Amino acid sequence: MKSSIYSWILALGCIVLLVAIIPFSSGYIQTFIFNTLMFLILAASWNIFSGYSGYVSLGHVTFFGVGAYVAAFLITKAGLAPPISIIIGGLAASALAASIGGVVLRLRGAYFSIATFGLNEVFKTIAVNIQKAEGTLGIVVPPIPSRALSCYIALIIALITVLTTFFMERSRIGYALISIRADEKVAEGLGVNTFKYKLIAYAIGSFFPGLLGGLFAWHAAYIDPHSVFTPFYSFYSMIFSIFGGVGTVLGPVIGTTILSIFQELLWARLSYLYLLIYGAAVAVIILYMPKGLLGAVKYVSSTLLSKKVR
Amino acid sequence: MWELSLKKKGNRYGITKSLVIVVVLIAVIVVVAGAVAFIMLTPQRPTKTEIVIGAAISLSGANVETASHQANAYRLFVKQVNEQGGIYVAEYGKKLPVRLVLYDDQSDASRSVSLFEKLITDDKVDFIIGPYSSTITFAVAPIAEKYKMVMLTPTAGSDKIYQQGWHYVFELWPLASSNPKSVISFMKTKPDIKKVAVVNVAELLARSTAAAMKDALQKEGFEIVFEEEYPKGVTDLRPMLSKIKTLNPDAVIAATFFEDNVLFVRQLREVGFNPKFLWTMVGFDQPEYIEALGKTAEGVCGWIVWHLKFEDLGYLGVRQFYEAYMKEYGKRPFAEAATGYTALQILKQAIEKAGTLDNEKIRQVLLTEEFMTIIGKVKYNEQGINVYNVVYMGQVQNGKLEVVWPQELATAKIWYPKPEWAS
Amino acid sequence: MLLDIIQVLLFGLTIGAIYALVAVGLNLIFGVMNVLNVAHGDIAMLGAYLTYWFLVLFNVNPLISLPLIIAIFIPLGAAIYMLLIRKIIHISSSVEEIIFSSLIVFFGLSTFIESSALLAWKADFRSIIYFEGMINLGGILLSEKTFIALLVALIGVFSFEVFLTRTYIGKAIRAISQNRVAAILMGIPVDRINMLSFGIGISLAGVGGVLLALIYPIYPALGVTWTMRGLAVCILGGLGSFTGALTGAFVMGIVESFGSYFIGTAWRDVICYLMLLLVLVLKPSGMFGKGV
Repeated sequence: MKSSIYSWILALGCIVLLVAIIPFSSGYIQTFIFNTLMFLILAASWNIFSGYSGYVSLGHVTFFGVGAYVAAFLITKAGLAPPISIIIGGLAASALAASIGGVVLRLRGAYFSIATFGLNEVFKTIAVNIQKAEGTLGIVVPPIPSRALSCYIALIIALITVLTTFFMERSRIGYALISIRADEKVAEGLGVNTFKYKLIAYAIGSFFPGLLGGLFAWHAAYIDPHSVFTPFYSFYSMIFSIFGGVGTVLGPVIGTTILSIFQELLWARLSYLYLLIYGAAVAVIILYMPKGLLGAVKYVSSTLLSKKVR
Repeated sequence: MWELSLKKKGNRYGITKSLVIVVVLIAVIVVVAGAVAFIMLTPQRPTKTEIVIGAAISLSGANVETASHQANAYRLFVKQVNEQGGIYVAEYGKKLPVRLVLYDDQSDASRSVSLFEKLITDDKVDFIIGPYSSTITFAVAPIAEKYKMVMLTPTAGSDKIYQQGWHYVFELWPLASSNPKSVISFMKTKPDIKKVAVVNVAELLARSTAAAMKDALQKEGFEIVFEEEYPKGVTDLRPMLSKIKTLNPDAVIAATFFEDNVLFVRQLREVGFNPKFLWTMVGFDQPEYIEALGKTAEGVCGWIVWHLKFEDLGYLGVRQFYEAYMKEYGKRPFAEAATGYTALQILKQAIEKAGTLDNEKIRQVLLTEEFMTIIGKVKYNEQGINVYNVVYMGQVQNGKLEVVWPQELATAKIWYPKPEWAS
Repeated sequence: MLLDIIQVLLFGLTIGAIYALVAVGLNLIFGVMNVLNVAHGDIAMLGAYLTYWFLVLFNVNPLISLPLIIAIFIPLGAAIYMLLIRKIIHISSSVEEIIFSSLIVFFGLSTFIESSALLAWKADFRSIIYFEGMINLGGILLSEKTFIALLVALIGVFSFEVFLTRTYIGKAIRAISQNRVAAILMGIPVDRINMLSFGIGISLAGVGGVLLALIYPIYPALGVTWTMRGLAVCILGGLGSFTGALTGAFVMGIVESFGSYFIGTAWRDVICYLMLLLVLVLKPSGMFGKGV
């Protein structure tokens, strides 16, 4: 693997640091770490399919919600242990992606995007109506014993997601997606089975939000349709990825970390005002760094530091 | 100079020295921020100079119209109690002032849950008090249980909450299952009411109420010709209302929340249907309701959980509360404000009776004692349900909210059938 | 029963007509500049609130607000174009990149507008009380405001159609949508037409907002909902096609209205999106879309 040894040491260092900090942090910090990891997983998993193929999915949160509900039902109705329920939740989300993909992946561009958004609305409505018969709204789940545990599990899922991106990028799937992004018709003409690879990537990319959904149900001890099927999570997955650099392994990681800290610093103090600054900032930043942070760094390093042509 | 130390590898994702620097910078910021925040946020152990009561409540978002009044009531009570020096706690031999900590849960249940946890674990409040609405209380109840903190819930009437087996939740709002009593006892006196339509918004309390209504209506021999649930945040109910118009029921029962209550009545008028009897739910007794609907509100009925007229029943401090609230906030208080105030009234009485701030002892007091409040007598059973809960029925007449049922307590005679839509 | 169904149909047509206004504007912007204006619904929301405040503060008849809003939004659109879109086009090296970047930039704008509205006006619903009378069309009861909204929306869409087909600028716009390079070669001032198109597209949304305020309660989050609906309608009809946007709008409005009536209000959104998915399965580029 050709890569600077520095970055690997640094990455390892950050992870070790995180692992060490978590049990000693206050509840507030732990919640912050968990939320950041949550968005990281959402952004990185969105990136796996949408980032590399160029198909902008606006319904990423659907898999989060499905994973959450499946896990919650398994824990409360079937009495299954949470870890198993979470994994089944992830698999269910993946299976859903694989079946829906058959329909939705035949669409292009904005059509695909709106179709994925519509899907989320469909599942949200199903979630609202599913409990109508028994008269409740929302599911209460026996809570996870400690927040530190949520953080650790989230960290593991995040690591797996990023590693998956790394390996996928270098595999046939990755090559196929990148070629699709460049020009799908040409790729097909060259004999790439675009549909198959899109489907596989879509299913993989949906597994992690599914897992995360189940973990969220366990962590928050309560889920309801509006909190787990909220389109905002889809939008944020997209924004954080693009901000950091879409179509790269570390882009979503960096984008999420920075924006999450930014968000946290502002939200606590300013509430709606923060959203205002946030919206303006996002727009302005993309105007000046259209390829995201990583792209800007690449640009800076290639023009300032290296004599080699990249 | 940099080029010399840098072995440029054309790696696939552009990891260069500058990237390493950026990532290091980020890691440093995270660590520093974490350390600073950790230090800053480790709360000082409070020396007992005050009683801290905390809650997350909907100060913004969809619920704000009603929830803000519950929050106002909390604030009013704390202000009044502090004017008298605070609450007397025998354990410390003196009166301790009360500090109220309110966070905005933005009408989101999950956020409320994490805010309550923050209040308990980080802010280390002495007591928590309920949020707004059954949906949010349902989510928050397990937190009270987990940390063994007593929680009085002023605006959580869904029976579902109290069937979960929690031991620390004590409710104040009439249960959804008790709603039908007053309404149906009235409807039974009108033989020309035979066909009923029952609708509800997708909220926990509304679902519970509609279910209870339908059950009771069927038992009493009414014919339910239409039932439907509509989503929260809907803006166009007209197709559904057209359908109701086609079926021409004698009575329409709408388990609504504030926003859709206004919408429902307004659009019912727009499709041109005037039932003989229209009953609505949340929002009905608020002053903003009549402001928003104007003449369209005339003749609309709904629930009354608290009214100034209760002073005739000899409840504790009814008029004082009414006047104090009016003076402080410029608007007349209604049910959600009253129960919010009552929650703190009871907490104060419980603290005084127990002589301590210990939640376990307070819990024992709540289970065994009887309290007198602005909503009347309160006594809790094993499940934390107030056995004295009762709900009445009101109607908007000439721009005023009147109690119309039961007749013993009525401030005015009910207009039946509902008059034509006024202009 | 039949009369009630006709009433529901009229509701559907009215909402469809407002969809048309919003979708046609969105479609115009996309067709001419390849920009996906994700803040379109928020602009409509602004138009709605402006109407509300003009009425409440200055007692301005909502119908008078119409030309006011148009007069405000065309220069506003031009300003947004100069500030944001020119830069996007400048930094993008392909059409996909324009779409991608515009998605984010306008999302930022949308958040900005929505949170400004939340800060200024809070989240509660507000309603306009005007044109409260009822009209009786042979047994069918229709409120004045619904009737007026329907009329204005139809006139708006019709005038726009005339504009597109009969005026020079309209033809220039169509030329650019069909083939930008050829248009440039033909000497059409693309930049200026872009600016004007954006302004017009925005003001169509604004007019839609005025009508929305007339018949529905308004609130800041309305923006996102309407953006999504506008996009869905455009997709349904085929992105880039004016006829498509129009047809899609009315189909969506009527399906929504009848869906609520026959199946239930809770399933309204689902019905619309399922219909959309069905159409896309059969024709992936939308009803009138130009090929896959």
